[in-house]
Amino acid sequence: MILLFIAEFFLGLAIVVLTLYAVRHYVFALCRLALRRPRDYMELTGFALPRTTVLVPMHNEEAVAADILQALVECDYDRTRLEVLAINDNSEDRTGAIIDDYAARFSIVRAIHRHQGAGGKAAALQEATRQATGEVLLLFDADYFPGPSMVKQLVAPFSDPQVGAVMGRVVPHNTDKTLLAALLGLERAAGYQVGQQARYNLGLTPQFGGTVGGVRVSALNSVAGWNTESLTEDTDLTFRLVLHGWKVAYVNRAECYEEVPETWPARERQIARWATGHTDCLHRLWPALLSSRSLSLTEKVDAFFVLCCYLTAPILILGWLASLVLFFSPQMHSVPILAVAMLFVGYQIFGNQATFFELGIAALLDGMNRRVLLMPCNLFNFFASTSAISKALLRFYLGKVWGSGGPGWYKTRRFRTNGKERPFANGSSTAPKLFSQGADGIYTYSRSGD
Amino acid sequence: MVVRILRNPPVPPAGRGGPVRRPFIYPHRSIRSIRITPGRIFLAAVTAIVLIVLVATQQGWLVAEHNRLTAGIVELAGVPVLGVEMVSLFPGLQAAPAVVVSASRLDGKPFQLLIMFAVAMLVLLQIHRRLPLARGFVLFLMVLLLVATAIVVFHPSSQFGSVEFTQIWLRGEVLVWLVLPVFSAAMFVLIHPLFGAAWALVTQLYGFLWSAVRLAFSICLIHYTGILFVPIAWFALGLLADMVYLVVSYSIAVEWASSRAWGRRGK
Repeated sequence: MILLFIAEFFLGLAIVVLTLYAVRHYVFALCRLALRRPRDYMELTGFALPRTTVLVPMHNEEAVAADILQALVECDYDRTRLEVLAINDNSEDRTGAIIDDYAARFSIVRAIHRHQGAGGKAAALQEATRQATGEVLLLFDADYFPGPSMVKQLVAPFSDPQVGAVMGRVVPHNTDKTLLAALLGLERAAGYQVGQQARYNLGLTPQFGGTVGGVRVSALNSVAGWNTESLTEDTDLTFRLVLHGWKVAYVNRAECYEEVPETWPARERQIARWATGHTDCLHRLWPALLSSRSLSLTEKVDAFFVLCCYLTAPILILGWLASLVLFFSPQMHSVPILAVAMLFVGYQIFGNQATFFELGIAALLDGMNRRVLLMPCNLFNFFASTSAISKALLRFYLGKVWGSGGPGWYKTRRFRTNGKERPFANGSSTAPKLFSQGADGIYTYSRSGD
Repeated sequence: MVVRILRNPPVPPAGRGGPVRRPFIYPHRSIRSIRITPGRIFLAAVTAIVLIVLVATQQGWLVAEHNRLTAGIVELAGVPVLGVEMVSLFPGLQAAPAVVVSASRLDGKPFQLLIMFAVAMLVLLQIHRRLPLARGFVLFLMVLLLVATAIVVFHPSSQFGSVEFTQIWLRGEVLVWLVLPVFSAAMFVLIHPLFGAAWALVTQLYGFLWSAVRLAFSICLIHYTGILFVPIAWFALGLLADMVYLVVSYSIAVEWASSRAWGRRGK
């Protein structure tokens, strides 16, 4: 009897939580589909371009370091107002040498070599921020490919003095490599084309993702800089900024190419880090979010939805176990089963269907071709993510109970091989101009400087 | 000056190599949107209401045909059908016929149970080892298999046969048939009106036929292996499979609507 009561409780909890998230997905998808976007900052004229520092933290990035630096030195931003800080964060490979090579050839590139101090991206950013001379800091991970106009597009929203941070759109370029990469491509499309843009359309807070984005230095200083303790310093910064009254802008047009994990172990580590970091932010920030006067009720509700999103995975697993118990209970064969059956339907179909609706809308707006037909395979990705997130959160909470601090920071594995498999091989207009393809198919960059 | 943007204008005559200019200007994907007009909302509502009313009023006929189809497939598979029993679904709905087959009981056959459990577990372990992306799902199936085995060993009175299983199955499916039009209308009709309405009807028919096939397969499982694989049949082939075909239909609809909305050059 007690077991049945517990099972009904957890099934009910799963239904309520998943239904709330499903409604949110539907609202976002329909709003993105139909609502007009806010005015594009790129359409503004007459504001002065601020001095901008681009930060590129790198830890063992010899396979990709030259690509990102080359793309940045080719951007069309005013050179007298641009600085690129390439941070060699305790690398053990040739990353430092590549950075030094670029710093020697291009006056806008400065090298920062870190061989001591705390590890991790946030600590590297903290140190680079102290040396930066720009009013605006833009961030790119080393495996990204910013196009020539990217810096301008991301800096434009800072013409609004209320904007503290800006986020651009991340587009995976290696979606043709593995099934997982293709599925993650769909997921990213839903997250940015629908999720981020809908939040921006609705006046909520788009999430600053820590790459393909920027932050105003004065805003960063007002919230005491980067949190080096957080596994997801980007999420942490987003909510600390909005708690201090800053806005976060989203620029859907600022598309930057990235590499998504191609193997499941790499993906598992990535999503485990995100889940732990998000949930850690939730534990630290929820009292401030609740009592904040700068956030409206809907913004607070959305903030909780964002920060709690990974908790849905263990709740879902508890719901499944509860359904299993109820399946063999005598109640299954009696008339009051109506309520339970309704819950089954709501939970199994409605709860999960909404995320697919969002994926489909993103694919529709992106004009995605036959790749969208892979959408049903995302069910496997969904199951795999659910178990990976639940394991990570279990470790996180056990770490809290035993005081072991939970899992550490993992660098997501790069899959690009040096000099091969670059994107833009089809002659896209956004291809870095200095790359040339040799007869052996290997791309090289010219060694000219500025 | 008024600029007219034509969606699908006739392709202009071109040089030897085919058209040299794009047939129309398409918006960049970052600023695309689709207007949800009152007409689309009306059509979506009409589609959903018509399908729901059809299912609700024809429910007795639908479940009878569903049963006939299921019984046919079960007999085709060589499983003798012992008869048909009426089972209640929900208050207000007509009772439904359920196929009766003899169910294998494994509680008195430990060797048979062990062999089937071990083989199934080995197959699942192999899939777990070879398909990293399917690991979460396979783990879920393993739990279902373990629970079913535990029920057979420790609580054999909880085992049930084809009639009870059909009752549980039809309760879920009838609700799916009633709820499906709402999803179909929202997901198909809003993105492309006429195709969406037709596609919603096709999906509904497919859902009905596919349910009978899956139920027949599950009944055959009950006949040969008892309750051992029933949880897997219910959780993986039941409502989850309903979601899969809905997502498949949706992905086809999106692919179709996408190529119509932006044209080939808009991809």
